[in-house]
Amino acid sequence: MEKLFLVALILTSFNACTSLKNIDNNRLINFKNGTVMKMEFSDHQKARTYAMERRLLILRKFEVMIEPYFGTANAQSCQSNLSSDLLKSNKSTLTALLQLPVSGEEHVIHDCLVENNTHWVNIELLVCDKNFYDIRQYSPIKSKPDYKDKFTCP
Amino acid sequence: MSMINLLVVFFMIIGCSHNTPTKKSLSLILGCSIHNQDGKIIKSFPGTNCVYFPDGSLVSYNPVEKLLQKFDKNLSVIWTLPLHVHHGIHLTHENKLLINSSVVKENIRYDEIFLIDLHGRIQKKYSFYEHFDEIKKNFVSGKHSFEPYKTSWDQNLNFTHEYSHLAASYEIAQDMPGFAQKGSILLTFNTYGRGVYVLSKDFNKITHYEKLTVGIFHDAQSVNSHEIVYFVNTGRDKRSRVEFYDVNKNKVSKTIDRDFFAFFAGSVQIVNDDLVLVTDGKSKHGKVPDLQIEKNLSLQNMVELSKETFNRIIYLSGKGEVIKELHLDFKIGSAKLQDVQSFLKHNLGL
Repeated sequence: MEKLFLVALILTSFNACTSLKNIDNNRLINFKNGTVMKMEFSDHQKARTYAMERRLLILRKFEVMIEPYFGTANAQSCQSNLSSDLLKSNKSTLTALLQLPVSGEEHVIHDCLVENNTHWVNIELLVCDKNFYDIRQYSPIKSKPDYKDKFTCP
Repeated sequence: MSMINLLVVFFMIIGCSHNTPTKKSLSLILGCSIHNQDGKIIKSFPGTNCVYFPDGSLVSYNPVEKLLQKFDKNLSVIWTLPLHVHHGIHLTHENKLLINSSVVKENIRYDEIFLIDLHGRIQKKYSFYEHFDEIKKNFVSGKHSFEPYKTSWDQNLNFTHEYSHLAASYEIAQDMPGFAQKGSILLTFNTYGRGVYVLSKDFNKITHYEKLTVGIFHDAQSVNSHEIVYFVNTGRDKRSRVEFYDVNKNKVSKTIDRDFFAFFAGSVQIVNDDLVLVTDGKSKHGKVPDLQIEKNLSLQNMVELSKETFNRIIYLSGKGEVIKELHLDFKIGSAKLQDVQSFLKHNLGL
């Protein structure tokens, strides 16, 4: 009974720390060790604009993170810690990929130096018709993941 | 071990891991990042100065493009205002943004103070450039020379000199008889005429000037009907300290002196009767710079020392006793405790 209680306690704590955001699309729910966010817009153009704004915001955040290191050797290593590509775009879809270091359990984009972070995140911003997805996969800072798009629109 | 013992141990562990000196709902705000009371980062947003709202929206200053922007809870831009912003943004009791800005004329920077509503519309403005003669005549007339000070502290703004250096603007929360009306603005004014200025509620004129016998100081705020509080920076003779100044008696009424250290930044917040929050600097290696060096202080080694220092946040009791210290790995001028639970609940994050 006591053992069962302990196991339940550990499982509850673990679940609280690692809960994923569910989305409607079953294809993405089983995504391991990451988070998925979905937003539906009234038309494709709005979804596309939102995706591009969000991408710009992340890039801008990274830009500001580098600022304290301007003029130092760290500035260059900061620059090399960001990968950013607009991979595909056609009439009804758009895919943008970002890779950068993040910090702590909350995976916060906060400092551009690897030594001040705990994880790498691959962010895939995907627009499928009127839907926008922000798909994130995290890896420990010591094992930098592949940098490529993994999802396509249904 | 019985179930009851196990539960006791469990709750002891939970209790120990939340050793916070104040209400849990308060978070540490360090510009555009939000931390828990132990300094652990929770959220971060682009920009250097941010103001957070309960519906999940925020106002942020982007220093690279010099843009003030409001974002909704999903981080879509609601409005953008091109404006230089420095030394923090504060909210007035009417939920308007009080902003320190600048105008540059012939490479000389002058301070400007704006009151902006939450739709991004400028409501009021006071310009030290436009009131330059008045300031010079009334507040710095005793100076033998009145030359602009050589500095270029903001790499994003093109200037070589400045006359004024405004380090904070706060709305005065209550009437301070003989000193300031409720709703007027208290300005922390460094460089010439160092002291606190009171800007009238309508932003038309400076109504009061109180010369403080301190070196560089930061973050002056009204505390009650007769006192202001501010952070005094490290100078030639003393380390930094927090002073309460009685504007009726024209003298310091209380000092909190706990080996604080900061040449050019620092802040103080009177959270409540039992809690004071101070931000100062400390070297990244955990040491407070040696006071001996101050015997030979020059601007150059002050700047060099300042580059070496990172932030320390100190929780103090109402009596000034140190409760807890946090050491951060990055620089930021000021930390404030604020309830942003509703913002965190509604905002999508980056």
